[in-house]
Amino acid sequence: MKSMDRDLRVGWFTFFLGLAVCWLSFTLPMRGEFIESPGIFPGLMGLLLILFAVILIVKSVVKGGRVRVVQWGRSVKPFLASPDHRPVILGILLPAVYIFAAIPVIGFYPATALFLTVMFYSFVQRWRRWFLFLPMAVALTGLLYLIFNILFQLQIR
Amino acid sequence: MDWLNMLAGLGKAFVDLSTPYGYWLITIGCAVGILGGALPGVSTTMTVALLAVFTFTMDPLWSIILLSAVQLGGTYGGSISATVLNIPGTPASAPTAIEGYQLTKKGEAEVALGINVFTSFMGNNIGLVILLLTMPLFVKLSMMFGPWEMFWFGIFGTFIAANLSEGDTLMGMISATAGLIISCIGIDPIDGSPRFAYGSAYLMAGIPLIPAMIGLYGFTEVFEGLTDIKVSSFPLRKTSLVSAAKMWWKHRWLSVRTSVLGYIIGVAPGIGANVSCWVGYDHARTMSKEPEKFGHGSIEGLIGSESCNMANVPGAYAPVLSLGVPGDAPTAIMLGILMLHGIRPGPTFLITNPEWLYQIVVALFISGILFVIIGTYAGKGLVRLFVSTPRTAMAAIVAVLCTMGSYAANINLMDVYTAFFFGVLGIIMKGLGIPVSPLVLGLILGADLLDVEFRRALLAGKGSIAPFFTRGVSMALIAFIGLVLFFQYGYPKLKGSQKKDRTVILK
Repeated sequence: MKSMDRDLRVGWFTFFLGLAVCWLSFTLPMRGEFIESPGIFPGLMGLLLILFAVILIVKSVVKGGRVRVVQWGRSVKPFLASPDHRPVILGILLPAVYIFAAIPVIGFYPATALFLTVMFYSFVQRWRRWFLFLPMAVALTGLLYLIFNILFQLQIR
Repeated sequence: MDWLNMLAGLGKAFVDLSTPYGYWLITIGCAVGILGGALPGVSTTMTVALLAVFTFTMDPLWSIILLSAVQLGGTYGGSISATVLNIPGTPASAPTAIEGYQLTKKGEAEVALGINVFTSFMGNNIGLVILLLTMPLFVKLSMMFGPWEMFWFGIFGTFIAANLSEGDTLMGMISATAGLIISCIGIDPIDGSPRFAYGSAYLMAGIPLIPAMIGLYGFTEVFEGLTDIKVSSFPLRKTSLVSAAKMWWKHRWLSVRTSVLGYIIGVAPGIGANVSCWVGYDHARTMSKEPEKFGHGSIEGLIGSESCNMANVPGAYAPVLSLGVPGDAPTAIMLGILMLHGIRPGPTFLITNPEWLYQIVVALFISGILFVIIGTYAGKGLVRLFVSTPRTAMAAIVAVLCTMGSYAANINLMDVYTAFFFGVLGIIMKGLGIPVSPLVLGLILGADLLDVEFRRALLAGKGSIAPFFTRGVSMALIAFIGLVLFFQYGYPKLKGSQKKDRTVILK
């Protein structure tokens, strides 16, 4: 992706974000005068965002930037399918499963032991033996429990 | 306060503190502080608050000595995880994460930690000397700050944010402004009405800073670390404290300048180390002869940020001891402890109890020596352990630490989701060439400083913006900001050195 195309996309996104912030800020309920309004500061920031966006858009267009929506849309599928990008997707997906599924269901420490076991087994070649990755994962989880729950007395469950 | 009285007071404080109980207390405080600071999610404030529970039955002066050691240890401890794991243990160690982690990647983790420990020690000492010499003057000055001046401080911070951009100030401004807007989510601090919360109880409390920072720095690193499986582990070049001291000596004037800056910011109530570290970092970058090294592991960046950060700690004691106004959150807890013991510091407090100032100064000095010892050996051990661990295993452990750290801050699972969201946001921002650090500074400066002070100023001025420009202190601050901007942008052009890239490549 050319940098000016990328900047142009950022510019347009920022522009619409600024518009949305302005609209949301200036429609916040006011109890007193305008200067007391809770939306005055974020609203001004929204205006500032629009200003920066316009400058970015103009700069990108002058440099030859264009919004190539179709081309961009077409590049998503090859990105997801490419074996080179698989670690990127897994790198986000596995922590997401740990955070959004495992912790709420089985609790912090069992989920952590499980997550570390899976991660060590999947990603660390030289630890791929059960007598290495399993005790390592359990010991680390125990250490975290000792520090956070016992020493700092935090109620992590 | 004449010189002889001061020296006599310091000598007596040394003698009074030099008991096994005194050293034991300071050692425990310092060690727990370093551990708390180094653990993501356990802030210095939280560590001070946790140990405060044990001080209820103690002598009030000893309890403040213990808590001051915790505060100092915690402020330093944040830089350990920032350097080794790229997770700022405290918000004030975010610039250290930028430079320190780059050095770790190059195999210079020990160098970075050595610099951190020695610079922190010297920053603390310089701050203590200034505290002793100038306390009455700075307290008077800080009381002249109204909302108008605090607003200008915020604006100054925003300019710094913009300057921390990836080759493009405009991208930095966009990122900082987005941070300022995100910080406005939650209950409006002036009139108490919800903003952008849409009925969510979680959003009403505002976006928590620690999980957001853990996400932007820590999770982003995890996502990258897990994908970078070609690198098995980082190299390691060993170093000693003496070579770190030599490096510090090479940049001693930078350390002195940023320490003075840090102290001044520490004196002003409500600004604190979270902002001062960036001021120090930016000053180092602006004055550097090698600005291209910033963002790639700059020693000057580390020295600037750590000196400013540490000198901030003594600065925060000036208003609390002489006016009863806490300079930051840990000193606010200490004030609470004092009030629990029936002691209320005020203008006459140090006149009737001068030993308090000397005891605290000496305790902070001893804490400094102790964190050099503990920090050096514990830090080296941690570094060797971390760098010998395979990179992907480290990323998995960091993912767990990020999760626990963001959870531990408020014991709320939503904070973990927030950290994850900011981690994904961070990786998208990196992909789009938008720097992350200005967003962090925007979050710090937003609702709590810029928004509140801007509206307070408008209300106090009955809607008029004139006092922003006509008050004496405001005018002085505007001149100061103008001067900084001139040295940042105008002066290099006048010198004809505009070809030199003075921008920071921040990941």
